[in-house]
Amino acid sequence: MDISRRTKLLLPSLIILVVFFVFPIFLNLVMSLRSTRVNDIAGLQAYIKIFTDPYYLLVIGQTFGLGFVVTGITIILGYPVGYFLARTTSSYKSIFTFVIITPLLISIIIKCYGWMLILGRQGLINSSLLKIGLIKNPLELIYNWAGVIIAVVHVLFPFAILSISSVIEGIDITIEESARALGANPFRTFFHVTLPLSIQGIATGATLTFLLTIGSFVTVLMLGGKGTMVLPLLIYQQITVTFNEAFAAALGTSLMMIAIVLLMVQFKLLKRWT
Amino acid sequence: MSEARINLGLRIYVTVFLIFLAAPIVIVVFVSFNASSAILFPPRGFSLVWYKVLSGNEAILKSAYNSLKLASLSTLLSLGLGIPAAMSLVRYKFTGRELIQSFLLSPMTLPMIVIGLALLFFFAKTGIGLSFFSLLIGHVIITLPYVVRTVSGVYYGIGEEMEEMAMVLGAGPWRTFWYVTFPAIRPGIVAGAIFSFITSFDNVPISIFLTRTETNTLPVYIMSYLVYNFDPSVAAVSTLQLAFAMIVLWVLGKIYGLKKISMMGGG
Repeated sequence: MDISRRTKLLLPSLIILVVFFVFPIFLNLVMSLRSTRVNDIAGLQAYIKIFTDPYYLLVIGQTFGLGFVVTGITIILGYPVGYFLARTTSSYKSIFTFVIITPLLISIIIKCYGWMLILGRQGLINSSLLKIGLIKNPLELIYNWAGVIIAVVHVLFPFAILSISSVIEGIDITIEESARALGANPFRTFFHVTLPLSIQGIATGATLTFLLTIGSFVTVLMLGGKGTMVLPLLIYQQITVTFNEAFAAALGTSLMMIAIVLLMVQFKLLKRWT
Repeated sequence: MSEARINLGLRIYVTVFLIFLAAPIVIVVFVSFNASSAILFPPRGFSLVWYKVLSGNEAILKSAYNSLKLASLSTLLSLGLGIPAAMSLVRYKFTGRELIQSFLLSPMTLPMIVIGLALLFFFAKTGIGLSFFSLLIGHVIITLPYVVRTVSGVYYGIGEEMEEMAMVLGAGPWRTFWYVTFPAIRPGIVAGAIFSFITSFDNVPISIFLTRTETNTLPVYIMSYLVYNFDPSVAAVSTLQLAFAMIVLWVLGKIYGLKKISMMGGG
């Protein structure tokens, strides 16, 4: 009786995912191996092109580069905030938490639009700087890497801060206090006690940030420019501009494989640590 | 350096940081009440003109209606599918359980654009075609994992004693669920429902492949609108959306506490 009840409860979800998730992903893989009408390439040729052609290598490199830069900035700048959130006894704590969570509930489109208003040619920064005479011509702050990085970092900060602060909350504060009582200064305490104890959680947060960054699409589409091509955007272009289905499928499979490999590496690392 | 100075430094840093987090959101609200059509600073004075423009824009209202319908339905479907699945995963010990759990959560870990692309091929090749139904399916695939995660997360923390007792005392599975299990897992259900709704309502990478003019969603519409127009009616619709999110967050904070919500959503 147990088995049938268990199956009954699980089956609908499993069927939905197999039919509308696993099968489409599989179909995508099959499509990537088929020949295209345009170039008549078949088999692994699309993949060979992706991983040997200088342009596609550049795009892959840029995707990874964006991932590393954004992850680095997010973790390093977010760490003090996560630490503060975990350790503060301030009466304003609920306000801090509110300001950090609210962006999570707000559409990514609204946030990107906000950055356009701030960073655009006639935006807040440029119009203020022009008015006080600090610059003669507006600065190019969007439709380039600067705009993309600012917006992606902004989108991912709340995720990073919340995961960092939950890791730090898990560290017994008396360990830090003992280090201080034994004469270690705040910096020594941080680098020899707090940081080593939080590094595992940080690694998990960093992997997530990296994965979300290399998959980010809306921010790059809205705030990027001619030079800021990354894999997700290239996939979209193959469908809407070049109509090259097979190549889009191969790019999609490549992006998926990159994500899976990253997840596996993270899983292995976590296993070795624990 | 003294501890007091480090603390002061940290406080200043955190304040600057929070301003950075809030800036793009605050500016959108600000611009939506601006009288001028160009995005100029300082604003030309307070005005509701963009809300008036918005109320006359049928395409944007239609897309907002589509998005609300889509988010509500995909949330309901995800709850209907996800709650039983989560319960089964937590209560029944069987081989491969962890594998099935990871499988149910796996759509969360793949780049959404890949799922969108794969579904586009799927609906095209199978002849199902693009309709509201295909859009709904696409959204359920990415909202279902949130429900499974939040509900199973809460359910793991609850012992089976209460449920067993109810059964022993003669309650059937449905009665036990309704009077014992459901009240206990409600926070997980609420959190899952909220994350489902938000994920669906904001989604672009899946919708952009699966929408057609008549099934256009709000974020896809706003995005294409911004390509050709830059007027603040987008700011007005964003502000309304924001007000809605704030109210939801405030109500939830009152009921469950902000900390708990952030824990369920983090990661």
